[in-house]
Amino acid sequence: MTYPLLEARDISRTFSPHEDLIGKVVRTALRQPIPAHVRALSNVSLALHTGEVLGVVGESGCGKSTLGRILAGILQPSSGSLAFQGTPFSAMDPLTRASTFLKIQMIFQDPMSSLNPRKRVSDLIAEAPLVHGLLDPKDRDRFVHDALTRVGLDPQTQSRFPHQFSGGQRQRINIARALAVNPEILICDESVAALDVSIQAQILNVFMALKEQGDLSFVFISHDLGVVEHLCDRVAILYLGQIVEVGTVDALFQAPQHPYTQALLKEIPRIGAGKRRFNPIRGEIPSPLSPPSGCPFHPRCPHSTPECTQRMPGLQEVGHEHLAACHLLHGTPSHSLTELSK
Amino acid sequence: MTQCILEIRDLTTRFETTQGVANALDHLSLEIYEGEVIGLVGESGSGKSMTGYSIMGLIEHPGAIVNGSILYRGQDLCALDKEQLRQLRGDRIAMIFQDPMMSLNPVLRIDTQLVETLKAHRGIDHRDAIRRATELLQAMGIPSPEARLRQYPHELSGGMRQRIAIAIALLLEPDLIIADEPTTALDVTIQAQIIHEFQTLIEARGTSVLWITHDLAVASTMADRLAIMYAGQIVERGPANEVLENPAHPYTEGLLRSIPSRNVRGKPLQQIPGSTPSLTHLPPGCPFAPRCERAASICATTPPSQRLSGSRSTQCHFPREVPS
Repeated sequence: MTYPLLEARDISRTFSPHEDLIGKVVRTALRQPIPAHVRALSNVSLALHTGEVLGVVGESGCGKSTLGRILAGILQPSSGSLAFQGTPFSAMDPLTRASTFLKIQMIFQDPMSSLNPRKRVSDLIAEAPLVHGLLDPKDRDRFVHDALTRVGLDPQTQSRFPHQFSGGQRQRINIARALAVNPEILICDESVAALDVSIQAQILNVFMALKEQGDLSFVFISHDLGVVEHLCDRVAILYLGQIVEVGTVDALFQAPQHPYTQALLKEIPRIGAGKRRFNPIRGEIPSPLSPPSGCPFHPRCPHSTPECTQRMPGLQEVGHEHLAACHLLHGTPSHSLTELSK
Repeated sequence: MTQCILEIRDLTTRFETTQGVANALDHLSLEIYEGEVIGLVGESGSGKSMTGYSIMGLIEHPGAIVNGSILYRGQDLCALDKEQLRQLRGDRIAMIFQDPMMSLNPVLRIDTQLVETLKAHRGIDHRDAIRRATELLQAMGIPSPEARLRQYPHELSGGMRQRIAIAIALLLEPDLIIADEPTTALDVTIQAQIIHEFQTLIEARGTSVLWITHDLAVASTMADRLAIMYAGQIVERGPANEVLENPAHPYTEGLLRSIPSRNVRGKPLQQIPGSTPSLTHLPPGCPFAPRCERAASICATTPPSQRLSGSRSTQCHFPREVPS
């Protein structure tokens, strides 16, 4: 049996407000309730297979960045586990765990704030492999040269500082730095969102070239459905900390099942549709501090029923490798199929 | 023939920086007609926001308008004194910013900010002003507007704040609204809502809009005409659908080709090589020439002049033939 490269099993993450001792005493004395927790992710299960690009799409506050950070090992999940090729990280000894997390690298949205402004490009790129003993100090120049060439930067620029580059070039430096430790997985958190359209295409091409070379898998976190459709193999749609739909790009973009996905796809402005009027879904994303009961989408859903306000729908199969979490999909033929297979 | 309400002629806005002189706007000309939505599209540093600031008289030291004129219904805005400009600004021409907190005062309640505007410019009494403000918030899709009016900006979500900033801009029923990336920072579903409500309001009032954006797709759903900016110049303009279907300038063409949905899925995107030139070190000829696949020797030496054909214009030595 083959295991997925990286698998999140039932991951939840809550954030609680910081409370010092005085605050705690005052609260207890005044008999105030315990401050509310933000539930950033609840019971998210997701698998990344070798060689694929998995898109994670959602609006602000849906927990997509939290998910990215948990997958990269920067944040600990409150519950649930993360497994690499079938082995949970919690079951690894500290050394193995550290070397396994080295195989997962992250690229952030803001190319400037993720580069140390006081370091030269060559130091930024060579530091991690030197520290981890992946690189012989003698080979440093050759290594930096290759790393910069790989992402389409002029190797002559290796002694410059980050501020001497444009936004697109800085993002290339970030990619080169992430690739320097030979990762198997790249987690890209809105990595092209801050770039201009013409530069965005250049960076997406760098990602696609890396994908073509074949030894990398990607988790591509984005709010931009156009970019996701172009680059990804599978997509997961997050809403208020939950996966509401997951499937192959073809299935999800051709036949979206969840009302939220349908609304998202309808509402992206597209060229060629001409001047048009939107028929938007109402309301805003509820606060994760006080999420609605039942299905998180029901206050905005045009088809919501009394059941939706009470019970949280689970993910169910609606097609080949295509899952959606919606009560309305009950009774569809594919649903009964899953019933039978259980 | 509809009336031209704003005419920008040969406008040059210049910044004197330590790195040299930068023309943020370089001999820019643009007309805005009554009831029309113009999409002004460009990348960062192309001068699209500077166009908005120049119209609003918001250019400050070290920048200055050094050439050209901005005619609002025949009256040159550059020649007005501060007081005359203040009368016009907000009243006849209003601006919406990307960050709504640029136009909202964080220490004043929403009702104060809306009502003050009405009282100052229209001199109507408090109760009428509150009623007008409530109606407008309702029309902008704000639920329970009476309660919102009593809140402070920080109590509202980003989408709500932007709706209120738009409501303030619309409050005095201006002839022209300059909208500088008003939906860029918002989520897709909120963007769709705000565009919907904004369109309904401006259509009902016949307001003209200069919609500044980096997003061609948003511009195409909003605009009647498009103007594409590069390095302080409008390199192409014309009716939105014509520009999008048959771009004449290689930059417009490159922008359109690099959009993911116009490429084969999973295949490399067609990209414009290089990056935007620094405004202080522009090439002597066409500013786009170093990145242009059609560039010939003339492009490196001589700046192209504007070519007009019917409703369209391009600034290129070798524009693509456009079916007329």
